[in-house]
Amino acid sequence: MTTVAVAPVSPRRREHPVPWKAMARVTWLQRRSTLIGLLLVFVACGVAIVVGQAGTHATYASFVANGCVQNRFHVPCVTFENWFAESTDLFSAMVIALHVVPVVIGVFVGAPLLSRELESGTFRFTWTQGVGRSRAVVTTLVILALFVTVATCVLGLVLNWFAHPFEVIGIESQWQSGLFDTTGPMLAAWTLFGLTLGTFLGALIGRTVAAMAVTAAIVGGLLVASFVWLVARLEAIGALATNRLMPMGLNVGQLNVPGSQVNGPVGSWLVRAWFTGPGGKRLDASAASNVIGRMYGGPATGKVGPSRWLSVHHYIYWVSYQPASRFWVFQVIAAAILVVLAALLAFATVRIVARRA
Amino acid sequence: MNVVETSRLAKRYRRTWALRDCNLAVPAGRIVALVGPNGAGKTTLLHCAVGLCTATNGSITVLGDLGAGSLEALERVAFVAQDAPLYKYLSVRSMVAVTRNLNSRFDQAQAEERLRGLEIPPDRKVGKLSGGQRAQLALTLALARGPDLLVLDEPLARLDPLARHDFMALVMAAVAASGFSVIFSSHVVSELERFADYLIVLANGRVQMVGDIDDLLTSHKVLSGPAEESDLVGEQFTVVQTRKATRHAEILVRTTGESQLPGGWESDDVSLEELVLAYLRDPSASMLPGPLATDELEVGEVAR
Amino acid sequence: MRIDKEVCEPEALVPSMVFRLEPRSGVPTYLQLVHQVEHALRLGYLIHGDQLPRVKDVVASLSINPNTVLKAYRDLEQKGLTIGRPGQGTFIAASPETVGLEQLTSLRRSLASGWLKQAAAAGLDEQGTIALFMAALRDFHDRPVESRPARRDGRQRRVGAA
Repeated sequence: MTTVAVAPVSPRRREHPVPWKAMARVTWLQRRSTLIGLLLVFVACGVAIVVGQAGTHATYASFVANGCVQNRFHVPCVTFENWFAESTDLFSAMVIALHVVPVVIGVFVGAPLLSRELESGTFRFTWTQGVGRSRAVVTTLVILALFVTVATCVLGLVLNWFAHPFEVIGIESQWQSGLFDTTGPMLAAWTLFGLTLGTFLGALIGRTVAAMAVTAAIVGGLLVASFVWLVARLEAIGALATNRLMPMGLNVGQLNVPGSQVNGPVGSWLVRAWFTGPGGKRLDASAASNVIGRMYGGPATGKVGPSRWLSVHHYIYWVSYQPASRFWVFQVIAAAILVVLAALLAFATVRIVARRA
Repeated sequence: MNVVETSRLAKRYRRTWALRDCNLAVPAGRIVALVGPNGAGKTTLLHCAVGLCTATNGSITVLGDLGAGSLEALERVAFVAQDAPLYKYLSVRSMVAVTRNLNSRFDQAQAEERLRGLEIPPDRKVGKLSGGQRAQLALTLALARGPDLLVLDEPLARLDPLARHDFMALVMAAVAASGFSVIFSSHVVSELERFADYLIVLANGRVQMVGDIDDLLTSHKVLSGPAEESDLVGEQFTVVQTRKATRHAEILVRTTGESQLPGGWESDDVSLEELVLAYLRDPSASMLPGPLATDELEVGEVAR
Repeated sequence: MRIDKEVCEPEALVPSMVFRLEPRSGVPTYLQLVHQVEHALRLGYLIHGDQLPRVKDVVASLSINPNTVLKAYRDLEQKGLTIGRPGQGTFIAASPETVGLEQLTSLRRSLASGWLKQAAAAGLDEQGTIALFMAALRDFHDRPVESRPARRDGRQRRVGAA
């Protein structure tokens, strides 16, 4: 039968206010080089983005000046569009770079936070100082969380600003998983998750290298999963359906931008498309591509247009979509999931520290 | 006030009991030596006192009625762990700053003055200090917190003789100036007498002997006399250890000073080292502890 | 190094008394301090009005328990050899009948050429000589050591029927 002697919670706790400023100084002294390194990396990313997008914003200014936003088929607009279509390299590189940020923070700030103390034995010094081990861990975590949240929010906003012209033109979209996960709030949420997961694993495993490896694997893995599948899966939930859009094919996932030739909700995110046949039955992939082939390949289509051809043959082209206004709902849901996970991990970490005997 | 008080304190790590049924009532204002062989449980006992581990059974309080490891206790108890762990990558100056910020009470001026006196350069990285210097730094930081109880875990183990002298001189001078209590552990008995005035002997997780060193030395004598009369002695005195030769025997006894020596027997004083070794050799010889403040507890109960 | 510092600091006051400890002599530390003060007094190294070193200075130089020094100083005060002035320190208060330096030298010479020579001739080694001398000294001063249970006055051995 194991019982633990617990110090009674005394009213004197009020005489021990949490020393935030002091702990901030301690965190700074202990993590100086890491924090400076991170700051430099963030600033470098920011500078790269700001410098790299100079051309983009100039071209965009001309795009707007020529009235291309309203009418795409103005002559110079096509040139601008092509320019954008060919200038996505730096943009993609930055999106990928920002995906690495939560992993880097989890591995280099989170994982060593407690594991180094445990491995080197300095916890026998730190946890016997007047501040107490729980308060030391909590304050350090909160201070670091604030720092990374602010820094990554700013970074995400800078990327968003870079992405805006691409979004207006319709080449990229904030609904796409790459940009979805790297908006200001989402990048901060992922980073908080990475930080707290790293700290938790560091406290649990007690070995720095192992904690860093597992953190990298989990955070990196989840980010990849999010990029490849999770975001798309989330965005498919509760999608509305419409049959009034021009048939384009089955590969959707793009914005219904103003000025393009499709009717339908402007600025919405098109999730999926399918055909239903004469009996209302949904066509499978091969039958659908067959229909598309006949629709666009046949001589009769040219005269009547794809929509008339479809109704004559009793096919209906469906598209499911998310209205533009729902974007922030999804951002909030995704961020909330990550923040709740981060909070749970933080609680678990403090608990591990408090109970370690 | 008892600076450390334990009641049936026991600590188990997985399957081994590091401490069993320890009852202690150490009065304040003493310099306490905690001795015992390696693996006796000294570090465990000290860790329990400073809140680094929690008891499996029983209770431990410090500085009167403060729970060991409570915030109040952490403020007033300073600890230097084995090998004086500090942040190796920080400069001495930063290490002092960290300690100052981790405590509400810290005498920066005193710390700086001591470090100057010890000739420890403030800009050197802690990891580049010698073992003796690091121990001195850890001690300086602990003393600057102005503790009421200073706990040292085998502070001299890895120090050369000069470093040992300087370290203990610093502790003794600080006690002379401020009058706090000290508990330090050691597995070397011979040097204790000059530092300590209170002794706790631990073996196999149990308290074998405890008390004021002066009292312990006055209350133990070595009686030597004819071997065949050993039992006579055993009837009159509490025997700690008997060593027999062909015709004579040497018996270490515990006495109140009032018993009469049988004729033909001589009485001699015993040294601290002899005494400690005798108790360590015989696990069944156990000296009753000083006055206990708490009631008896059932195994598994915890005193609050 | 500490030693160099003491030599190079011109303002460092020279203490009136330098203590030495023999940790393995069997004599309790505080008694060693008391005896050294008495010895110094006898030899004239300490005179009336001299201030004994402060407790913390003795502690720092010898690295011993402060209580030990306090005990020694209390003992000296009890014996009337010193007087403590609060806030100032402990001062030598008496001049015990000092045996003059020349008398000491002649005593020592007579001991070496007389009794010690005889003891060596009889075959006594150093330890045996010491034991015999201590026994004789005790007999001479007629001090029943066993009848003082509360105080320890050094290693006691009642040499009975050996």
